[in-house]
Amino acid sequence: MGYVVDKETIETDPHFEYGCSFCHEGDADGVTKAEAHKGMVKRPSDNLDTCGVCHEGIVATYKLSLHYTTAGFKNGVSPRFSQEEKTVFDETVFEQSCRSCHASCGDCHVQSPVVSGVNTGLMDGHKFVRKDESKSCALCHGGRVYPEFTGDYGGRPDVHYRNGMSCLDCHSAEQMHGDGVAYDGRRDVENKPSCLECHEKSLSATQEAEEAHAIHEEAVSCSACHTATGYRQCSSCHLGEGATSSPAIVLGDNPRKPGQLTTLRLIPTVRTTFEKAGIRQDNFDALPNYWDSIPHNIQKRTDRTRDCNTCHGESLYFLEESKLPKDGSTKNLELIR
Amino acid sequence: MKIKLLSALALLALFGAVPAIAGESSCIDCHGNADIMKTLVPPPVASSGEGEG
Repeated sequence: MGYVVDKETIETDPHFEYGCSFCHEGDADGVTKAEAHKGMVKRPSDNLDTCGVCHEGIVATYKLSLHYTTAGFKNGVSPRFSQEEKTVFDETVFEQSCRSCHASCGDCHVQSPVVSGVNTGLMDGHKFVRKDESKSCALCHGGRVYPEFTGDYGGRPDVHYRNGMSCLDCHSAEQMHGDGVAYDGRRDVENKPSCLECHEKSLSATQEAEEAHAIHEEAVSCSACHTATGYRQCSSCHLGEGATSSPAIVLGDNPRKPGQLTTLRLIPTVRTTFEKAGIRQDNFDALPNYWDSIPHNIQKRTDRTRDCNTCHGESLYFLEESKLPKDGSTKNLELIR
Repeated sequence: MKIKLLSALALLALFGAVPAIAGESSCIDCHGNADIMKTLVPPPVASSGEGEG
């Protein structure tokens, strides 16, 4: 049940040593609900300093981390704006909307984050949970990567998931808590996960695989070959009327690393996205409608690893002009091979 | 030594008693009891309108 607190936890966990009101304030002596809840702070860790009383080091780096600053949202879209529009965006859309998605300590360790008004309550009787990806990561990242990872969108689950791995096995706690650097976006993070951390190039299972890895090394991303099935394109939910709503593998030139073929994901921003805020996106065409993306449905063997012809003959998943969204960015053309 | 002992006793008296206070607070009277919480926070009534099922 949503807010029932486990009594045993209260007696044994040092977090409760100073009583509920140490974090939640309110009136612990109040007799009625209204009296007890007067002045109560529902989400104490929204103020990170509440946790910082004891966890000073983590809070200091977390304040600069992307899960807290959500800087990736802002920096990912701002090249589309004029200078004047950037100011409007920062003051209105970003601060009033995007920033509401920041994760507090409690969102990952106490209560599952509330997403689109759906509140599943405490993760486990108010225990301070070290990690439970299915009740934390899965809620905010449940639109795309998590269901891809677990196979909930169909197809086989990611090979790492099938072998008992979960989010934090690649995305370490250190990465989640930040390293003290205020990055512009997740791709800039110094110690971000990399396939090569575990999969050394020289350890390919067969000579054929070793040759394939050597030939494609810089020119093709790992996911371009090892993504198993279609992954969510944002058109499925966000592009509005006329959007084609189907998962797909899309291969094209990496907009952030020109010259590399990679998996692309259609992103939800269209020309009218910020119209209500009075932002026309004067420089909309500065960015494409696709970003490089690593789908989380990795397999060792796919139709691309089995048969060169999938790419070199049929160009099966390659982005084509006829597949581009209507009235999309002119920059999309640069992604076509 | 006497000062240290007195300080320790003072700290024990101050903080040692806190968990007991926390356990007895009115918060736990309700939040530690699933039956009470069910009456205080009834589950939302599902609408039987279009789309159900």
